[in-house]
Amino acid sequence: MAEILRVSNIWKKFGGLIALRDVSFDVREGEILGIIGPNGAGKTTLFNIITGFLKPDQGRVYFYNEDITGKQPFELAKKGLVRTFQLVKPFLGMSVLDNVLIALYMRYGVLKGLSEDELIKEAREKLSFVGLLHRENLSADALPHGEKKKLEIARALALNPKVLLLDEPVGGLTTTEIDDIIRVIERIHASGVAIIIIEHNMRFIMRLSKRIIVLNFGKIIAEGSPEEIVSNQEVIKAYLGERFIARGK
Amino acid sequence: MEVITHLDIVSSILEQIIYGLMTGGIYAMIGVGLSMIFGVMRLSNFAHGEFYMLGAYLTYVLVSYMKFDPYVLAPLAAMFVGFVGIIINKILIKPLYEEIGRARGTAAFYFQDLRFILMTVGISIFLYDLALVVWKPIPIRVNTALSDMIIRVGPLSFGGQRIVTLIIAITSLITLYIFLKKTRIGKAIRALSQNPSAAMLVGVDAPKIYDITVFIALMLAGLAGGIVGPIFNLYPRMGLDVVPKAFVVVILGGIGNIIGSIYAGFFLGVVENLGGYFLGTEYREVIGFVLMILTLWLRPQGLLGIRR
Amino acid sequence: MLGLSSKTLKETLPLYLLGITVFSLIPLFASEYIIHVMIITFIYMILASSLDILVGYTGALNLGHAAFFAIGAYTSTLLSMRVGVSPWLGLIIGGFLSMIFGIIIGVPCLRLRGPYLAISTLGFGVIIYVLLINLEWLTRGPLGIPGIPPLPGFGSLNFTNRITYYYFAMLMSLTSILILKLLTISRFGKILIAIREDEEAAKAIGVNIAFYRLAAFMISSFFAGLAGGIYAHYVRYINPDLSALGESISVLTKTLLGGFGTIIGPSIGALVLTFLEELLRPLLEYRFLIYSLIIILIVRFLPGGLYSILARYLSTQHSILAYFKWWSYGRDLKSK
Repeated sequence: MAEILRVSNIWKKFGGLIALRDVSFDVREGEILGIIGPNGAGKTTLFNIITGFLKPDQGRVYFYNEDITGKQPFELAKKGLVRTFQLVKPFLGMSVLDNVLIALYMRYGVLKGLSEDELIKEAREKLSFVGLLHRENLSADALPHGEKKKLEIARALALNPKVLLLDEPVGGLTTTEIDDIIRVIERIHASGVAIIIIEHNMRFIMRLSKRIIVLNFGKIIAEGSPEEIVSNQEVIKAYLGERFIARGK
Repeated sequence: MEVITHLDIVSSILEQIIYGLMTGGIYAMIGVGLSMIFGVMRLSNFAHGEFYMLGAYLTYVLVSYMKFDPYVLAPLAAMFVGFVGIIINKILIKPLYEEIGRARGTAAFYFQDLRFILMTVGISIFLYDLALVVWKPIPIRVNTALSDMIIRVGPLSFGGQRIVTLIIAITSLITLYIFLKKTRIGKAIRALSQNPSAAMLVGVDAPKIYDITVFIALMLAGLAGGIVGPIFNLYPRMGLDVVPKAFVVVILGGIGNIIGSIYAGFFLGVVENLGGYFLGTEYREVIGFVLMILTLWLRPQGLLGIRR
Repeated sequence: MLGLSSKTLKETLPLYLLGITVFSLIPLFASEYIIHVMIITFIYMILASSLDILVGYTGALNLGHAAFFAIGAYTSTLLSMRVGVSPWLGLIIGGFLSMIFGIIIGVPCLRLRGPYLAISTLGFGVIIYVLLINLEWLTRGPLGIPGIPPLPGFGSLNFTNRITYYYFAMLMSLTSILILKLLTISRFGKILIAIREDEEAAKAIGVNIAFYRLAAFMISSFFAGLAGGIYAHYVRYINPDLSALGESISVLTKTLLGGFGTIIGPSIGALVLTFLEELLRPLLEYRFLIYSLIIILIVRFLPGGLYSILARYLSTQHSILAYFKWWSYGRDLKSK
């Protein structure tokens, strides 16, 4: 499997705090990579650096062998490197449909080509994919939390990502909602998109990822399959005091 | 001939610097309050200058009725101004805060919302026009016994009132400095200003601190106004004219850096005077803005790099 | 093009034509004085609506909008008086020069948000004001420039005739507003709204914030400059006060009163306030008192402005009314 995203020796400091310490890993085509770690381990900072919201102090990021370190988020989105946010960021003043439609504008070009009707059709497809089509005319701020999370994913999908970075996609969701999202992600996976997921929900991560990276205090302390991670001494130490059960994959 | 000319220039420059420090003291008093309110409440108080103006006019009124010296009555006027601020905060700002809070739900963005800026702009113009109506656009001079006193320092001479103004400015700023650095409340204020969530996590009572901050900030502004009467003419627009300078001070000192704005105030005063001396007085006003825009663009952490 | 379907145009154009018809009727029964006030109103309608592109759509508070107005006015004036350019050309060039200043002011402001942006634009306004006062060799300083030539007529049209100018101002105004409105309904407009709603999210979906912000500044300042030119060749006297902070606040109040984020709303606000200003001429002292009370009350109690009252009685399915919701914050229209 070819690697399509490579993170190389990333360091990031905030004042005196070292948020990321020599972080390196790669992401292979079509895989689902999980990133876990205690709060404050640096996971979202890592996402921010990969997607251009932050610049690393040292290190580089390669996307399809192109050095994208420090490039602007909007450039990366156009290349197919797309992220969602931990605290959902829908465009509140716009309808659900428009939230996705706008992403399509950016993808196909504002002035160009496709007619409005064609784009609306595709936007509806994306909404169906996550199960939000019945909400298309609703204002985004009226959605319950779980559906906002789905909208976040639909919008990201509209950009036709090659690599999708999901930051805590099931944070604060009920078990049923989580199962919904699991199904959505499995379908995204089936379409060949590589996915990186940051999550705290162990059942969720174990279920979806074939490979997991564990971050603690900005360093990668373990990398491997879910089974390997669960029995890894370092990982258990990091989570000392927190009980988790890896159940059913 | 040449030696005298050089001395002339040097003493002129020195004079500009010292006058600059005096004006700078006023700028610092107003600017630090603005910085505090912004830092603690994330509220850009466009009406800040009006409290300076109110302090000035109130002192004038007290002086006219009680026949005491303005330097004695200014603190009194200042406290009254502080209370007015608390009332306005209560009737207009807090309800807006709650209303937007209910709708938006994210703490960080409350005060940065457009509506707050507009609200403070509205308050600012209201107070301005109030002054315009009550006191008319006629410049007013406030007299003090010290007006006749002249103090000489080397080749330079200054009116007594300027020296007293500078002394009061420096004293109040030093007091504030000590308050901010040493007292618990002061530290709470600085903590909220630097990192609101962390501060609240360690138990800082935000609403109470807001009220205290507003009071102190506006009182300082009012005091600045009160002590300025013997030096500059009072006119209703003085608040509007000074508030952009106050913002310049806040930005030069570094956004969120309360201590920095104290230094920045003095800095602005001096730079304005020197700039006016070299470029001509017509361009005095824009110097601050140009510096501010450059700072925002190139060095947003503040021109001076003062530690918070 | 730009995502404007023929459906949208079919909904917008009739309103435009309706507006033209209604306003066209006014000179038939109105006094000379009312016609004069209406001309001023039309000019302010362009100003207020152009400000809305920045404030209501991009979320950038411009406290120095009057500066663009003044630049347009001075440009057209100086070109027609000193260089002998036809005022018609002067109008357009005035708009473009204003647009260039929009770029000059916009570029440093690209990375700024909220209050920093606001105070920077205020600063620019002051800088322009000071320049207009002090560059006396160019602008005659505080004395201003009297005797500005009127727009040269053609055919049987004479632009010194107030009624002719009325129709001219009306057409310029309503057409500008139409263009601005269409821009905001288009894809471009939706992207501006997205930037306003959530800048980070907009970045994440591929929006180049700097580009759109700058574009908004340019559009906004172009129309403001155009308005300035139309003013100059009507009133035929200009002075630096046109760029003063008070004027900027005045425009802001009109936009606010009408309702941010609607283009049409600010025009309504301009209409109401210009007439109010005329009525209150005897109370000039209290003028700002009333302005400020309007600002305070609207911000506190009716943030959607007059437009939001209007919109409650009109169908919300109408595409034109779709995006006033910013100020509603979910209070009334939760779902369509």
